[in-house]
Amino acid sequence: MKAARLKKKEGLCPFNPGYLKLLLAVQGMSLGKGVAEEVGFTLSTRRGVAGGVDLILPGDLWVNVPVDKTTTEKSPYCLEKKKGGYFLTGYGNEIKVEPVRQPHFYERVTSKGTPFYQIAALHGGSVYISPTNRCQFFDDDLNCRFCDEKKTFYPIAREFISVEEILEIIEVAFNEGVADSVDFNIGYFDTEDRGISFLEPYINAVKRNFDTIVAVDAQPPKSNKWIDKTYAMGVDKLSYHMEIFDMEVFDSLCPGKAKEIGWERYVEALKYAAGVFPSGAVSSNLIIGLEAPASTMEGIDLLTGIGVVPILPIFRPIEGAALEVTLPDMDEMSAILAHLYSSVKASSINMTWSKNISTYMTPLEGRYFSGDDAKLQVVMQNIYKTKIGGKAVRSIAGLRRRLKVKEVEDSFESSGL
Amino acid sequence: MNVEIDRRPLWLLMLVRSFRYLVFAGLALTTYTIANLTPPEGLSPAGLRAIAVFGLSLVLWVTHLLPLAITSLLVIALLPLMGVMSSSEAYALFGNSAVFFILGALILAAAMLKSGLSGRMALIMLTLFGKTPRSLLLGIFITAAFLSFWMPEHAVAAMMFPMVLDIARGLELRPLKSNYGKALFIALAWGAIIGGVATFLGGARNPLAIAILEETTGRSIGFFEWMVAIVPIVLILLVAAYATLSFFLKNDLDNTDKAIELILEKKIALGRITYEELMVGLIMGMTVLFWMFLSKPLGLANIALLSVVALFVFKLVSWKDVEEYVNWGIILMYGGAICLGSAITKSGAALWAGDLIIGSMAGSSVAMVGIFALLAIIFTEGVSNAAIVAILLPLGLGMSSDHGVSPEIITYAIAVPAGLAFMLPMGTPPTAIALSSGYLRVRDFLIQGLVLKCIALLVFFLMATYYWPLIGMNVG
Repeated sequence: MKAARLKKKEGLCPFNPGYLKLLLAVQGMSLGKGVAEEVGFTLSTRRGVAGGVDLILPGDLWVNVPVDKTTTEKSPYCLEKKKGGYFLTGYGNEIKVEPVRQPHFYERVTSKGTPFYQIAALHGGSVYISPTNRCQFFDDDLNCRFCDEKKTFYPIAREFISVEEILEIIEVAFNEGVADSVDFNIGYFDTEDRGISFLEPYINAVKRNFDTIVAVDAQPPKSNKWIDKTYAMGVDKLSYHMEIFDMEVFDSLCPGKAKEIGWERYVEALKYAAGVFPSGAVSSNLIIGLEAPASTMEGIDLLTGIGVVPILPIFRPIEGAALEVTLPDMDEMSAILAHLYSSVKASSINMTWSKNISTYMTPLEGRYFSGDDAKLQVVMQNIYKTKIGGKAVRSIAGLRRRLKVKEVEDSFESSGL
Repeated sequence: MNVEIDRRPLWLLMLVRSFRYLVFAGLALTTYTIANLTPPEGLSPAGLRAIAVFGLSLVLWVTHLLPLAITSLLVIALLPLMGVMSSSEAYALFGNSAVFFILGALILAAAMLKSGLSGRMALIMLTLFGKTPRSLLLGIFITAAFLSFWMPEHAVAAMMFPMVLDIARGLELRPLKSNYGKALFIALAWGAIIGGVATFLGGARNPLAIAILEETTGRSIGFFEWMVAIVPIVLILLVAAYATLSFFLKNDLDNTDKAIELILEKKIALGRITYEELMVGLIMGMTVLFWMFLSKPLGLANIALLSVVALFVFKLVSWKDVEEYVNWGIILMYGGAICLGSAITKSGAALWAGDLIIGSMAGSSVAMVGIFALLAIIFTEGVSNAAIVAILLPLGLGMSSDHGVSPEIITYAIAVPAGLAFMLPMGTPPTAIALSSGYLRVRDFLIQGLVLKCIALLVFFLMATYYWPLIGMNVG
């Protein structure tokens, strides 16, 4: 087993970028003299789970590496600038890496004066936007216990950000070349549609003005017709994050999700959505570290069994959040990630929709732990990353939507003809 | 607007969607191939190309792959391109007087609807009739029929529909359960359909038939002449339809008190007759009189257009109203149909094709009339009745002289049965409008409609055999 061989590997694991990504995500790294300034990194503009420095590892793997003192106290890794570029050093070895320079994007403000970083963040080629910048679970102290509102969302004066401002942000991100897709995140809405109607004008505007893939992270709506509408309005990728498979842990760590939505509804809505969206375009997070590894693996099988791609963030404590946990050891995490790849592969779910996300482990990255080269999927993903490939993906997604979505007149339905 | 996601596999959806384009490509290829074949004996090259265009338009009109009007535009473009006739000839046919007669008639109908005159006429007739359940039903029947003498049948059905729906609701009839509820809406549809064949105004297929007759033979039928030949048939059909309805849908209503109250309420709400209604009524009345007695010297279209001008002189209708009420697609469709009819008849294609398809069956003149009437009354259930006229009439006219049938007779034999779509909602809008009430299903039309259709065909033959000779029209 390749996973077993990995155990013996130490240090930088230059031949296994997946393993290195895992190590860096957990242990963090310190920054050499002047590096923070060189890459334009400032803590004030980076919050929550993506608060670290994005590095591009060999194999084009993106990882968000914590650089705060608490996490990196015992880390052997350090990012240093040397002749010829940036090097990650540790255990007496070094490998060349590419830090993702903090784009000028974060220094910009909208025409209404809101700093971009308060509304949007860049991860692995996507601009993540939260038009409301809040989650209603916090209103009733029903927020997920691993989340902290102040650390996740910047307080903004207005109730929500205008469509025009969002378009400005996306235009800048695309023009700077730091993103080519959009991800809307709307937290929890106490409405039947869970905020999809609220997002509709934003999505329509983005689709009208940009040729791009639009993803939505939301909560499952009360009825499935809203899932149909979500797809019909132009959303290409959809995520309903379960976070935890174990029902008891789910109830205790996600009280809002458990009370207002329910574990079963997540499964039901994800299953329905997987039938509506293209293969691999519906995903759900299962956070490594919040439950037993065996439970996470069971959750992976449940999700792949209903056609959903499990995405595995590695738990990273947010300073100030109510919860602190001990992560599984590297062997256990490697086993989970190997299982992730094999389970998705066995279910014949398309793995190539998940891009280079620096804060999560994707099924395709799981190949580094399973011993499979996944050559075809890697080639396909590389093709999709090219300009022509990306255009092809967007065109196929648009064609699929045109073929699948049927508009039904209310009057026709009611006529009973 | 709600959405539905088609769960069928993508390859199947692609196939289904591309099927349309494959059909168009196939049609284009077939048309091109037929047009370039060596013509069979007795058919000129122009005739063969006319048949190719005719076949293409037949498929498009029957299948509705393109809107009827757009198929007509295609015909106009193809005929000169394929060398069947010159461009100037083709486009000149589009300016046929029948097209302008139809335009005038539609604008007059728009004025009747806009002024409220048609609604008032309907209410007056219902007040006269609506004393008992039977008489109210008869009232709806006769009102719809009578109004369809003077307005397009679909406009009559659409105008009376809310009124009949109010009556059904006021009487607390249960949708799909109440026999009387079903009967009310069938009466509305059948009344409008039967009335629609009585004059040139009930359905634009009648003037279309006259225009094809004129363009291909140079002969014509006058407004009054048509009424003399057809109104007796219409009267018998109205009696037969009412009897059929009463036989199949036994009355299950005790009294119509609530309906009478409702009609009176509406009448009171309407108030006294307005200047606009009075003037529109006057102009309409004058127009009909002129059509009946002076159509030959003055021309139907000329009378219609002068009446339209009069409506604007007296500010009884605005151009915006005309744009709203007039179905411009119908006008385009008829232009193309007239053009095609002329092309296939004058090129000799109609005679050749007609002989080939039904020549052996149509041994006598009576058999030929019978076959065309039968074809028209059958196909009108699935195909727009105007399309039936556009398809069958050129063939019939092409064959008429060889079989010793007068072109006028063949025109009646096709145009009248083509208007009698009693069974299915596809053929004519009144049935579809009645169905949309939710008080009845398609199957409620089927059996009664079939029976009435057989009766109608029988009545048509009996009248053609025994009545028409009395007015100087001989079938055989």
